[in-house]
Amino acid sequence: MNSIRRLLTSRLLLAFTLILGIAGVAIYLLARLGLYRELDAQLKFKALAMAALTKPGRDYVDLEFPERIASVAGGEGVPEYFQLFDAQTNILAQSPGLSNFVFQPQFGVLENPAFWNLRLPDGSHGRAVGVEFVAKPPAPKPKPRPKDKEKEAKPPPPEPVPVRLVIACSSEKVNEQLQRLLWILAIAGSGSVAATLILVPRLLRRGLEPLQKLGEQAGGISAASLQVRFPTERLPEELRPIVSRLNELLARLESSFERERRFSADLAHELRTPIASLRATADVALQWPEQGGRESWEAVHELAVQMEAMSEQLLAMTRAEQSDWTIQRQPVCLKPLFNSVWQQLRVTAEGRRISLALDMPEDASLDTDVKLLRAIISNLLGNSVEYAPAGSRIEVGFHAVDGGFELRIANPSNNLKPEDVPKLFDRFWRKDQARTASGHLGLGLSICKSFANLLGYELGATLSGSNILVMSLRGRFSNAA
Amino acid sequence: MKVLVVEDARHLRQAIVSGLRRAGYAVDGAGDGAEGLWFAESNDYDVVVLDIMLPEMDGLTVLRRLREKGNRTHVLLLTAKDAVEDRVRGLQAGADDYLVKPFAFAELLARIQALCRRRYGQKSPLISVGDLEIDTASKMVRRAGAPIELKPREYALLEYLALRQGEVVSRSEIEAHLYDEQADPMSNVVDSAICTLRRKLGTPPIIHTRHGHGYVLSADAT
Repeated sequence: MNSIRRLLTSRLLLAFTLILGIAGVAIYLLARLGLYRELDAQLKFKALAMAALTKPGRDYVDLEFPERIASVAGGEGVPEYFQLFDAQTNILAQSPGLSNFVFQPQFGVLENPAFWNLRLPDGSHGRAVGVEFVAKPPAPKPKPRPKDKEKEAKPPPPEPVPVRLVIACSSEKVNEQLQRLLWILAIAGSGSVAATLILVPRLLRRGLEPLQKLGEQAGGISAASLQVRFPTERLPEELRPIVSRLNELLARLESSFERERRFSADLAHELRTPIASLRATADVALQWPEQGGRESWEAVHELAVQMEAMSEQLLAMTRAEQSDWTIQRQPVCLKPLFNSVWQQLRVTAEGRRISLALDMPEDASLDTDVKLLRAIISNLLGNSVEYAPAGSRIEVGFHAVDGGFELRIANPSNNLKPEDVPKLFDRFWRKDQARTASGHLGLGLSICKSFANLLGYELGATLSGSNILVMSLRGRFSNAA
Repeated sequence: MKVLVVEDARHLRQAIVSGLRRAGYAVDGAGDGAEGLWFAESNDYDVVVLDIMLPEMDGLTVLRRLREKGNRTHVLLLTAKDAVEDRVRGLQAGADDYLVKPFAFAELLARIQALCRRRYGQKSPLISVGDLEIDTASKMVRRAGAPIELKPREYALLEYLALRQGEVVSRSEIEAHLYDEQADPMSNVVDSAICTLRRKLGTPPIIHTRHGHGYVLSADAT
């Protein structure tokens, strides 16, 4: 299972162990370098001291070598050795402990001697320095002028002699110190890793607690609890935008679910009456089959047509809301369109003595989908004819507004109230909720609004103080919605 | 029994009215609340089947108006609203029963029958008058154990008289409870129906005439 906490824990532990390892190795190497440099400095110092004290003797091969140098030994029980060679690497002098032992010498100059590790005669680890230099006789001391006889007897000073010197000492102490350091680093490192193993998961758990709580809260949300909102107080800054968006999403979901729930309930409610009619008709026809006749079948047919119309309207609305509609734009002249729609309504309109007044230029046109626009106009005019008071006049106006157009259909309304206007476009809303048998399902305006949205237009409604209902369709002349 | 059906859905109203008539009820139908109120106030119905969502005047208002005027007719609310609060509101407004759409017609019929019985203080579906037995549930009539075939309207007349056994029932009351607006008020349908019923019920006569007053269904010959 993919877990941020586990992933972070393992990666942090790995990174910490790696850093700890690198740091440990670096500390060890630096300490080793420092200790060896110190040892080398001591060896160099001794080599320089011995070089300064090494003098050629009167005889070419007989070098003066101070006694105290010959007794050089490592202080505090540390064994130390030296070997003095001539230019041909013949041993001229050496420590007493080196009877048959010969170093494998390497030599550098005094300023830059050669150092190397080696095995000492006692088998222990050691460090050696090798230098080559010229042993010079000491400068003559100023003396009182000798007598002539004495002058003739004094021998000449010895010639400088090139010699090579190797000094070796034990490095066991350094190795012991390094070994100790290694142990300290290993123990400290292991302790640190162990502490990290304990602390990091806890710290991460605490640090990721808001995220975990968020996850638990989100996990507890279902379709029945969409009213829940995530608290944003005391939330880490990083999570705030996420929680804020989640809350917005929940609000939209809640609204959408509520709308769907209401729609389902409304739909079920709307279906009850035709279903009840169908069932009652069928029950009666079945109970008294000898008395059932054409009337029952006519009723069944009418009810089926009514329910078919409802399903078609619902389907049209669903398609419009899902934008599952191919819009075919073309120039549409409005006046002929209105006249054509009015022709279909003329009989009903004349029956109610309702007239139409068109106030628009002859050439008024829109680049739009004629089927959708016709459906909108047909519905709006149909509503006006149905609900406007008998003998009233429907006024249609078309004019340019703010770079676009406004198409207004206005008619008097006796029974609408201002609080009804916002509900006009709700699905299944009817002013008179009882008119189930009139063919009006309360879906027409909702479908019109969806169609208008598809075309990129805006359909709205206002009710003036003198109870004139104005349905207005606004948009751009050429809308690429 | 006379029933008023107030329902705006035309096909549903027609089906209920037709079914109830075939079941032997006298039925009037109204398509909106105002018309329904007028019918209810103008006639003496045994049961009013009332839709809630009605044009002109909603069903609950019709019911309240009736109760305010002292009308005690049993009212069965018929509606698509099935929420508990809707039922409570309807019953609190004075309804006697509540039926949610869609429904089985047999259930509506049974509820109407039950309301009719309640109106006349009859709890059992079996009514006995001497050796005459009337089963209001199965609409079966027996006399001395022998079944008697009756037409719906004849049965309705007998049931009405049986529910009011021992009482003098006037011709106008019979007309008001057994004949709807389609019946011709000038005809002698009541007299002929009584005559037919007497013939089918046989002897000894069980329906007695009280001249100038009406008819009595009683096992007692006096």
